[in-house]
Amino acid sequence: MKNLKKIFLTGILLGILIIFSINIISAICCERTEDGGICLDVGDEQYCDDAYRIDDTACESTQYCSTGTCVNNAEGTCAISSSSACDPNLGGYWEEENYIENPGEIEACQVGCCFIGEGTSFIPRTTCNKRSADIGISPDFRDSITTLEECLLNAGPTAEGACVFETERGRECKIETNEYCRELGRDPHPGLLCSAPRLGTICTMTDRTKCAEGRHEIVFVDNCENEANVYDSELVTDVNYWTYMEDFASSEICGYGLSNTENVSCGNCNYLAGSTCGSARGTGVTPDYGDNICIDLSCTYNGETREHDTAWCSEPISYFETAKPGDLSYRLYCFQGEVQWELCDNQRNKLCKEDVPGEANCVSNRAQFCVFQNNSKDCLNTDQMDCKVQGGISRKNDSGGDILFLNYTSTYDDEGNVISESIDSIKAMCVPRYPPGFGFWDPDVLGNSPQIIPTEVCMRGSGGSAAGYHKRLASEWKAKDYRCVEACIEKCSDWVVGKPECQETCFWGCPASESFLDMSASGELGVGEVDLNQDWTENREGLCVSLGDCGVKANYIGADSYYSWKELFIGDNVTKTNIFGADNYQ
Amino acid sequence: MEKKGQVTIFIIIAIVIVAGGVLVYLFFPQIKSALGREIKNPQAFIQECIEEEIGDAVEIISLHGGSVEPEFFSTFDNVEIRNLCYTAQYCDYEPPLCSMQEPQLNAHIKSEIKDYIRETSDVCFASLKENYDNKGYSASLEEGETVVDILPERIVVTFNKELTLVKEGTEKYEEFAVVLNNNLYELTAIADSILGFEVSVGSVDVTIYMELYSHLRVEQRLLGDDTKIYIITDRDSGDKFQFASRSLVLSPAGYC
Repeated sequence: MKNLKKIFLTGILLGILIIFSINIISAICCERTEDGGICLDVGDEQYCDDAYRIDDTACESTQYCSTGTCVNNAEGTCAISSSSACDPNLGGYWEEENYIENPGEIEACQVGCCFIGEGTSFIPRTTCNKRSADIGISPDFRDSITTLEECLLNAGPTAEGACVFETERGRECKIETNEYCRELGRDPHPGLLCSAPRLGTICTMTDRTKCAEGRHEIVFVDNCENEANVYDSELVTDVNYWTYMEDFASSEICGYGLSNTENVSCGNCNYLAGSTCGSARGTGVTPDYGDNICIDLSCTYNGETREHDTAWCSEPISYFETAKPGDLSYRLYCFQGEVQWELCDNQRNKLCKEDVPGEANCVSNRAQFCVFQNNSKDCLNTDQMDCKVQGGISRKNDSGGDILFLNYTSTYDDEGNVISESIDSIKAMCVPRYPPGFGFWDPDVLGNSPQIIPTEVCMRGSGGSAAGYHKRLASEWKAKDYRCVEACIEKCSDWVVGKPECQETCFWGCPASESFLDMSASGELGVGEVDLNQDWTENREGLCVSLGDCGVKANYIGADSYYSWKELFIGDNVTKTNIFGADNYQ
Repeated sequence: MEKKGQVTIFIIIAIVIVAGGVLVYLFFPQIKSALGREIKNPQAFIQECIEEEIGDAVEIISLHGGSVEPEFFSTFDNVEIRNLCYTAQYCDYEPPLCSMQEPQLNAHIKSEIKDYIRETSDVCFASLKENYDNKGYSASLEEGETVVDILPERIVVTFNKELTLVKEGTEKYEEFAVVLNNNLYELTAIADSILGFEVSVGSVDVTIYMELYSHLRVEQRLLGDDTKIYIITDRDSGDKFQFASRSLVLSPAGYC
C-alpha cells in the first residue's frame, strides 16, 4: 500500500514539477541565431551565431537587445525594436524609449493628428512628414490633438467643388479641391457641382451613372464626366440635386443606412451594410437609369447565406466539450462575397466563440488552471476559466488521501438573487471544459519548447490507482472480456486439467472504491480475471478525456485509437506491483 | 515542271520564315532586346529594358516577406517567408511578444530591389551606350547613385547616371526614372500596422483592415509552430505582400 501511495505521489509531484518548470526555463539571448533571427531568447547556446553577442540572460536584460524604438525619418517610420535590429545603414537610429509606452519622449515619434488632403490620420510626426512628402504637400501635423477620436473628428468636410476654367470650347469644369483649384489658377466653387446652372459651364446633367471613385456608392455623372451626387432616379432631372454637392453620409440621400442591394432607383450602396457598386449586367436587374446597381456582398456557406462583414465558427464552442484528437476550431468570415477563414490554434488553446450572431472571435481556452481549483464556485467561474466539475474522482493530498471538493449549492429568488448557499464536501475534481489538444508534431523551437508531451499531461488523469489483480495459479494474466463488470461477473472454477467451468452470476454490486475490486477473499474471481468498478472507470475516463487528447478516443475523422478501454487494463498497460506482501497479488 | 514546283515551295517557305521572324521581332520586346533594342529615346529605352526586372523583384520580395532570399523564414505553401517579428518563446506569466526583425521594412525592401536589379540595369545602360555608339554617336555614361522610391500606387527607380551623346550637337541626360505601377506602398503600410500589433499585443483581428479598406483582402494562416502568415492582397491590382510573425504563443496543450 505504501508503494502505491509513493507511485501516486510521485505522479502528482511530477505533474506539478512539469507545470512549474515551464516557467523557469533559463533563457539565453542570441544577438543573432544561426538561422539569422535577431535578438531571440533561446533554450540553448547552440542556436546562437557565435560571431555575435551571446548572454546567459533574457534579451530584454541586455543593452543590445532591449526594446526601444527604431526611427527612420527618411522612411517616416517608428518601430518598436531592439538596437541590434535597427540597422543604421538603412537610415535608422535607435532610441531606448518605447515610443508607444512613453509617447512624447521621442519627438519624431510623437503621435498626433496629421492632415493630409481632406483626411486625417493619428500617426507619428515623422510618418506625417513622409506621407505628406510622398504626395507632394507640406506636412500639417498637430500634436495638440492627442486622441484618435479627436483627430478623426477633425477630418474636414469635403472642400471639393466645381473648378472652372476657360478653354476654346467654353467654360469647362472639373471637380477639384479648393486648394488645388487655386494652385491651378482656376476659379473654385466649393460645394457646387459643375452642372450648377449658375456657373454657366458646358457641363450639364445626364441620366448616366458610374461607381464613385474610391467609394461604394453609384453616382450620377455629368456630360463632362464629373461625378455628381448619389444616384436617385427621382432626382435625375432635379436642378437642385445637380447644383449642390451632397455629403455622401447625409441622411437626406435615398436609402440612407440600407444596403440598397439591387435597388433599381437608388444607388446609395453601403459597404458596411453589405453592398457595393457594380455593373448591372448579368444580375438580371435593370436600374431605372444607367448601368450600375448596388451588388450584394454576402456569401453562401454550406447552403446558408452569410452577410458581408460577419464572422462565425466552424463548430459551436460546445462541440469542443467532447473534442476528439485532431479537432480544430476555425473562425470564418464573409467579405465581399468571399468566405475567408483562420485557424484559432493548432492545439485548441484558442477556440472560436460566437457570442452574438455574426460576431465570432477566437478566444482563449482558459483550461490551464482548472485542475488546481478545489471548489465549484471557482471552478465554474466563467469570468476566469473554462472548467467543469467531474464527480466521483478526487485529487490526492501528500499522504495519498482524497482532497475533498467543496460544492456550493445556491438557491435563488425569482429575480435571480441568491437566497441561501450551502456547502458540502464531495468527491470531485475541476477539469477543463474544452479539452485542449496536443501538438505532438511540434518541433523544439530553438530549444524553447516547454517540453510538454502528451503522456505527461495525460498522466494527471492516470494517477496511481491500485488494482486488485488476482492470481491464484501460475497462469497467464487476463482481463475479463468486458469493459467493466459491475454487478454481474463470471465465476469460474479453478482448473488444472481441461477448461474451467464458468458461470455468469450477478455480484451484489460494486463498492464505492476507487480501486479495482479485490475479491480474492470472497473467491468470486477466476484465474487472472479482473473485475472493474464501473463508476471508477467512468470517472477516470471522464477525468482523462477532459485533460486533453487523453484516454480512448477516436480521432476527428473517426479512426479508432490503438486501444479500447478494456485493453488499457491488461498486459503492459498495467503496472504490476506486489501488495500486502502476499505472493498471489499483483 | 517538278523543279519549278519545288522552287516555288522553297520560296513560299522562305517568305513564311522571314515574315514570322519580322512578326516575332516586332511583337516580342525581349527578343528585340537580345537582337539589339531599337532606340526611341534613352528614357524610354531604359524604362522598357528594366521595368520587367523591377516588377520581378517586387513580386519576389513581396512573396518572401520583404527579402529576395529571406534568411530567417517560415515556410508556407513551399514558399520561404521572412519572419518579420519573432519570438521563440512560449506562453509565460509575462507574455513573450515578438522581437521585430526588420524594423525598417521599407528601407530594407528598397535595398533589396536595388540589389536585385543591379546586374540588369548595368546591362541595359551598357546596351544603351552601345546602341548610340553604333549609330555614330560618341556616348559617355557617368555612374551615379540608384535611388528606389516606394510611393503611393507606384515604385520609382531613379538612376542618377549622366549620359552624354555627341554627334552633331551634344545631348545630356542626367537621370533616368523607371516607374512601376504597384501598390507595395499601401501593402507595406498595412504590414507595418499589423506588425505594430504583433509586437505590442501579440495579435490582430485582420477583418478590421478589410472593413477600413474594402479593396484589400487580409488573410491570416497559422502554421504548426504557431507562426502566423499574413497575406495582404489588393483586390483590384492583385498585388500581394505576405510575411510571417510569431508572437504570444501559448504553450502546447495550453499549460504554462
